[in-house]
Amino acid sequence: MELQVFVLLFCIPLVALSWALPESWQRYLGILITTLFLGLYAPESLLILTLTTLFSYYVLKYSTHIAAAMIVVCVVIFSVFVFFKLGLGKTIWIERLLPLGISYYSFRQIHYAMEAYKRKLPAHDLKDYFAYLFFLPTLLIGPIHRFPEFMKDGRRRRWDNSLFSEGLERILYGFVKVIVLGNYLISARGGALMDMLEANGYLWLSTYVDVVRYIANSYIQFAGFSDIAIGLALTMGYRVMENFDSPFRATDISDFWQRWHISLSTWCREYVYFPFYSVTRNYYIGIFFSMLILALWHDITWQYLAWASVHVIGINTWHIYHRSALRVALHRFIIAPVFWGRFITFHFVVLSFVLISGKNGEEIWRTFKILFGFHV
Amino acid sequence: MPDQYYPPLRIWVISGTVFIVLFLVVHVLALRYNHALVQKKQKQEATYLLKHVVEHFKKNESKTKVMVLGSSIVGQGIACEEEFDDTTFRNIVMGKVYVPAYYKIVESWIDAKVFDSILKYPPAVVLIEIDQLAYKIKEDTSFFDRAQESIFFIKNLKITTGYSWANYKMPAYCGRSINETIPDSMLAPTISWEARTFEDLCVIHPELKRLREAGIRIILIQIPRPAEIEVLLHDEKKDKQLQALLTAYKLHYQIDYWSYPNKLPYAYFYDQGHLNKKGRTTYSKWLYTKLQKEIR
Repeated sequence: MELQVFVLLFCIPLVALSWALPESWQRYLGILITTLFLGLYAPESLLILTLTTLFSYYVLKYSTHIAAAMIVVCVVIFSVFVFFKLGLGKTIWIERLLPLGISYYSFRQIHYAMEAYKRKLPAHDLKDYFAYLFFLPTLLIGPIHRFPEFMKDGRRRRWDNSLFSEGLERILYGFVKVIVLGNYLISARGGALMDMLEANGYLWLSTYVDVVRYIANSYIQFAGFSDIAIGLALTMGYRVMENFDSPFRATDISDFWQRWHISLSTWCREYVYFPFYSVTRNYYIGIFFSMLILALWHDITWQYLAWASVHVIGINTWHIYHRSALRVALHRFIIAPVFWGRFITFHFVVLSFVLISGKNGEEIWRTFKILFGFHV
Repeated sequence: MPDQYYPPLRIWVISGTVFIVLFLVVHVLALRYNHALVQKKQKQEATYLLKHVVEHFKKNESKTKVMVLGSSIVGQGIACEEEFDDTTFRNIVMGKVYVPAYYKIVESWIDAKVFDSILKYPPAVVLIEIDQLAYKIKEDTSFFDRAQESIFFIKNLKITTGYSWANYKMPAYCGRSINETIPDSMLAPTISWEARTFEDLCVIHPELKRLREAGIRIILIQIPRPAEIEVLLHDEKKDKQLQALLTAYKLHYQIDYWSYPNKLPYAYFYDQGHLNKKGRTTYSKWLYTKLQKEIR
């Protein structure tokens, strides 16, 4: 929590000055405050961000062959990202395993390179690109917002009481989600409930509560921090893309991925799924690689790979079912199909998250055995 | 027409101001009354444990009674006699009055009339955790610690006024025996200690004198910390001050000092101060053996 509080402390002068200072100073102000923040709390991240920003900008700007430039930028950025994700950063920096915000700014830089290749970037200069990547509200925890929208908002931003109020409301909601719902209700009280159930011999129920608690906490915390980031951006006049849209109301697994971590799932759809689909004309392969990148973005472990595989199977199975005559036949008999859709999707997601919540294979296996009634 | 209306900015200004004022008021109250509230809670806990110790002593009249006074380190570090599988130590009955805190623990024993109870139901030996007599913790004045004071204040206020008493758990009679070690990456920064002089803690002197006059044997005990933490907590100057303090206690009240002879690695601890089940068993066996020799 402390780091997020520090981000907030740095954002207060940023927001105030972004309205007080002349338009021409705005970009420099954002870059300066973020540089100060990173310099104080994560100098290694500042160094990587600065170097990769300069590298990607100049390679894409001055290259005569944009496709080659795009590939070079993507490969370099992705290699840096994987290098740190594999924990090799510890060989250089002892203190922090993963440079602060690298997962987010690496994917923003790849997005920038891809859009440059598609020639869809608006006219801009180096300071605009720096301002986009050094945008403090979204630096640490996303969303992975897009450069063209950022530029458009930057040009159009005008003081608007309603927008500022909306931003404050989102920040408040975010803190309520993180502190009250996440930390207090789900973590502390939910944990006590789980312990009480286990102590009284309700092992199945306590395990079920634990797995639901894990995903509920992940959602609430992440959505809360996203709300804070979106709210801070709104107070500066930028409307950053949403990251969650009631994911537990999803009626199928494909719908779930359009509601959960939207900025990352749409990133994977645009820059992984569509390219693979356009080359192979096979959406199963597109889904496979999208989910693979999505999983590796979180962590490079066998657990995340297993988690991704389960989702690949889930999404592809749903697509086959969705196009089959079985679905039409079943829908004639099922009462409340929306409810059952939500129920099945929710439990599929909860069970898949067991794969990443367990400390090791033994613990995961034990949880599944308890949940499916094989535990003696 | 906008899709959704948001509160006018003046509402945010008013609520923000009210929140800041409330926060400051709570903070000022916390600084003023937190120590008193903490002590009240600690006194309640000490009284609760004392009641159990007395009952336990009454049930085991024929055995040699030993009373330990200390902090949560005693609660977690010293086992009750029932915890040993064999009957080797069954001639000893151990009573622990520990306060799971680090603020004015000695004062809490006095407030809870622990020494009066000791005189009323005299044990053969009274063991006192040396840290409580030899050191005091330097108060941290960082912003977050100050802000936490306000949270503690509200929490303590709720407990002491009975508002959340139902949810509040009194410390367990035998203390916690935890079967794990938290990762060393989660170690909190080491608390900073200041050495005490013999005159510093004058409140305990009349009590020690009373115990001595009643013929009760008093022993100061050192409960081990992880070897790497011991190095950080002790230096030559502090060790000299400790030696002077021990000599003074010996001279005035004939109090002995038992220090655990071995260095224990981190695997014997739950965190940087508290022994885990493995450490608790190891240390308690040593302590009980030493007590048995002493009793003979």
